Amino acid sequence: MANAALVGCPQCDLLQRAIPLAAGSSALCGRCGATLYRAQPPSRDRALALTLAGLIVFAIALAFPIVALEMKGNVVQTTLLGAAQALYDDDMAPLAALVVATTTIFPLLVLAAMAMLPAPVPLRLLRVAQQWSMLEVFMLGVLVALAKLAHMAAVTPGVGALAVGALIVLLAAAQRASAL
Amino acid sequence: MNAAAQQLYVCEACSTLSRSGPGKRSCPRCGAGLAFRKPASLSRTWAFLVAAIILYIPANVLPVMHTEWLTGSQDDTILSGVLYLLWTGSWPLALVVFIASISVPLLKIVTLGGLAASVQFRSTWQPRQRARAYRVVEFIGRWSMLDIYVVAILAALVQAKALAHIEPGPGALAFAAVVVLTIAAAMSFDPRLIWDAQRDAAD
Repeated sequence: MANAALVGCPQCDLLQRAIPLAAGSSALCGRCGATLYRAQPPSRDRALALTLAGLIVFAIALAFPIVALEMKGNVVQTTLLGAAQALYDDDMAPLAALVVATTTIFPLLVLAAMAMLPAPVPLRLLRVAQQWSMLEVFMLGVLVALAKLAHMAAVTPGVGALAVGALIVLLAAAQRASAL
Repeated sequence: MNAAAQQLYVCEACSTLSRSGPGKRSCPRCGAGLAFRKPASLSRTWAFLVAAIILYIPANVLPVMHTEWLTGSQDDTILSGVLYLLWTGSWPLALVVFIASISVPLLKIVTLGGLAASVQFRSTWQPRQRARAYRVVEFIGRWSMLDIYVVAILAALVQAKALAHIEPGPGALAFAAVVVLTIAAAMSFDPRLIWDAQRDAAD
């Protein structure tokens, strides 16, 4: 019984024999239906290129405003961290920390860990960071906030919001390229 | 046949199979800690879940957002925020927020409670459906953070003291705690336990 040809399902613990797959397909557990592995071979180069692009886009996402609001000639803008700052200023430090963690620290950890793969420690870090990185939810939050304000003031999404959008795509593509 | 029955560990981080030996506790490929099942999975899941259920009440009753403008002020709960979106004409968005903020947390608590109870009572009913339900819960959990982000952005933008001012309410803190606790509960739950009851019943 060669270990190399066996896979254990991470969700139900069933031992199964690995089979070769056609390109683009994925192997599902025969018992519980969880995804076991994908046919796409991991590409270090592609994953690293996408990760580096992600880091650059991240800098833009942090530096530029996410949304701008104009009310009676006054323009107010906010960045990603500015939104957390507003919570902190309103005595909601735990909420501010949660927003910073899920939209900045954990996505950054995902990118940093991806850049260092396949070293052992980053792989474990990645599993945790992926769970708590929620940029795509934040993006939907931007949309809802825009809609809520649209009838009382002129609101426009900023460069930062576009960068966050690009970052979500890059992160997903990088994780796919490294077959995670 | 289960990997554990063959004394094989499936690494939780990288899925590598490794044979258990004396004193061996970490994955040979990635170094992650190894266990046949997540330690104290069921009691940790219950603990997080009970805490989430308790906080679910203030999360929905207390205001998550406080708005002040020239002529008055208003407190919004999660539900009244959805109704506001509905009345101002954006029903698709109201639906999205309703699903993310009201359906998802409730669905998560009920599903996780059901899963934990089914494992507790060693149920053999529909294991494949329960395994799928767990994957759905794992996938949708994060989307409940939506309202927290909305409040954060609104509070940062609407700061003109003279005209209008928005700040987060105490409900937002409880709501965020519910989201974090239900995610923690889902992470603590070990779906392999669903199948262990199956095997034990067959023995």
